[in-house]
Amino acid sequence: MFSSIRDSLTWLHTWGGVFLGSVLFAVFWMGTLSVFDREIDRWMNPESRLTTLNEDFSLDIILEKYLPPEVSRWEIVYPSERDKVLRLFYMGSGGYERVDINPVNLERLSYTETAGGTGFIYPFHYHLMFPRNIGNWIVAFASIVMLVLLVSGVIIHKKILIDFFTFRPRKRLTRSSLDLHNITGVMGLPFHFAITISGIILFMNYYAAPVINRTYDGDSFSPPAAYYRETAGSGEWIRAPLGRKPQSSASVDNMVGKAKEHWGGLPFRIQAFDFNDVNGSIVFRRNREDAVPLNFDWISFDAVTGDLLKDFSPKPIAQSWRWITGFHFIQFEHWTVRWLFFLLGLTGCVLIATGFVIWFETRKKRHSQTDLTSVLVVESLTITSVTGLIAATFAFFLSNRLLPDDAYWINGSRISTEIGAFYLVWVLTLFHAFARHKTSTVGWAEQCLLIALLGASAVCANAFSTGDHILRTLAGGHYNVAGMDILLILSSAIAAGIFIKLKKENAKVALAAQEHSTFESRSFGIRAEPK
Amino acid sequence: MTYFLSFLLACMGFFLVALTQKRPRELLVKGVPITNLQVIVYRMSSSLSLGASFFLSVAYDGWSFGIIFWGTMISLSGIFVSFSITTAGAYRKKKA
Repeated sequence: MFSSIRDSLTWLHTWGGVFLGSVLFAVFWMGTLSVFDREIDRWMNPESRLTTLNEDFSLDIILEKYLPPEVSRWEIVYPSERDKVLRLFYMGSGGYERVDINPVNLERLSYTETAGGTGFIYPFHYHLMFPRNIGNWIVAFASIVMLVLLVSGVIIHKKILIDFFTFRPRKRLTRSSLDLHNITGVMGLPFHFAITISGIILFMNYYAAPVINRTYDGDSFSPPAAYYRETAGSGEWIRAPLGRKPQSSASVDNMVGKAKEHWGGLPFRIQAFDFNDVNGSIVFRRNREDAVPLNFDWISFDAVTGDLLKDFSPKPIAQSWRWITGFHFIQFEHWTVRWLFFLLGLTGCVLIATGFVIWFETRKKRHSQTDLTSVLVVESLTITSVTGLIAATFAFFLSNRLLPDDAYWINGSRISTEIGAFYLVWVLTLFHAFARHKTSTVGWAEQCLLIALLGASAVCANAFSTGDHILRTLAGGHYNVAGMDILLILSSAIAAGIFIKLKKENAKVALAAQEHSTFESRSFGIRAEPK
Repeated sequence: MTYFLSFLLACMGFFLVALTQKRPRELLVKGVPITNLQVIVYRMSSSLSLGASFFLSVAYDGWSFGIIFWGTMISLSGIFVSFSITTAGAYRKKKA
């Protein structure tokens, strides 16, 4: 079938990219945004835009002030540099309650009901919002294909060393796209390879479940509890409740002091189990900001006496797994690396998008002569999965700022309404792509214009609804909000630039076609049909 | 500052490699021929520059953070050099 290994790999690279490029683009785009998920949260939840980080407060006072007496299970999330709000969650009589607290004055803060970056963009990145782990499996398969594409891309590139620094933006679209595809693919190869393989390793619990089950005598597709107990100490912090109420509870502040002494830093999360029982326990989870490995270390205290109950740290093999997952999760405090991840994530998006452009441009003539439905479907889906997805994301941001607080239009929740806006715009871009795909690059161009408009509108909507325009956020030290606004403006400017470029190119193509038609009508003495 | 210095060293390393290649030379120095000795000197200097960038990153940030920083920064510096060569080449052509 193929005359050489390079030919067969070219086939694999081309069709693997065409079939799974859309999924890969979604994963890369959402993953890139997830690098700044908490900053997106600050933008989408204006009440949480605090400037001062305070870690010196009394948890005993906070619990006394905000925790109802009958609550037995609660959780506190410590403020951090990226999210300066202290959060208390508890299981109340009316369900799960959330209390946002300003750690400076211990006053309660209101909050905007939004999924934000951590509740929508980040989960979309790894399971595409599909139910029952289906998304995890799709993303896993796409990730394995991504590794194949990266390796095959290097092998099939005939002039990899000669073209190492070659970028010719003024050449025709196919050539400039191929150059950009090569540069981002070759230069970004170490990052793209490392981030993809670490993403696969991250979810090995799902993919390698049969292996884990064999080791731990499990019998289902998900690993047994014994596995999680050994690797993360899961469930070992809970003691059987005795059903007796304690006379008093130990000071949580004292426990914080002990945890701080033990780890040399503050915890990031505190959880209480059976707080109203004499056998209650409080678990402290180690901060993840000071090192690359994703920490699963925890210590638990007796909620009544305050005595140390258990100190858990995973075994060495789990530590190495934690380093790989920590690299992918990027929960550590390192702004330079965070920005580098973001920029290289964008190069991944460029790599995939330019791959699509090359595929379409090299086959444009052939496609225009056929009337294949498959071409129509592939082209429309591609436009939707690249520019449509970006437009939908910006519509998600814009809806967050425009929807009223009581916009409980979908599933009785504002969060669902915001997510509904995302899917609505995405579906509309699909219809648009179907309607406009035949007219050269008009579909791409118009969706770029939509991106530009939505991005600029989101920035304006943020300024008008909160008063936090860029100058004010920069002057006030809200760099996460300012950064988000600046990136939205930059994206809009780039999208507008691409729109203008494609518009000019379309005009050139139309003019050439007209001239060709005039020439033919003169040559053959036929009057050209008016268009 | 250390990060920036490390980035500059990496860019310098890539730039020196680029100077030993045909297309970047056409863009930057009108394709003036290069001797074998020059190629060896440029590539050795490039290795030294990239190595210095690596050691600077690791010395400043430790092995864990240093390797991640250098591994990511090196990719971006390569892309940056590619775009810079294109821009410089276009500017030189325009001037000519």
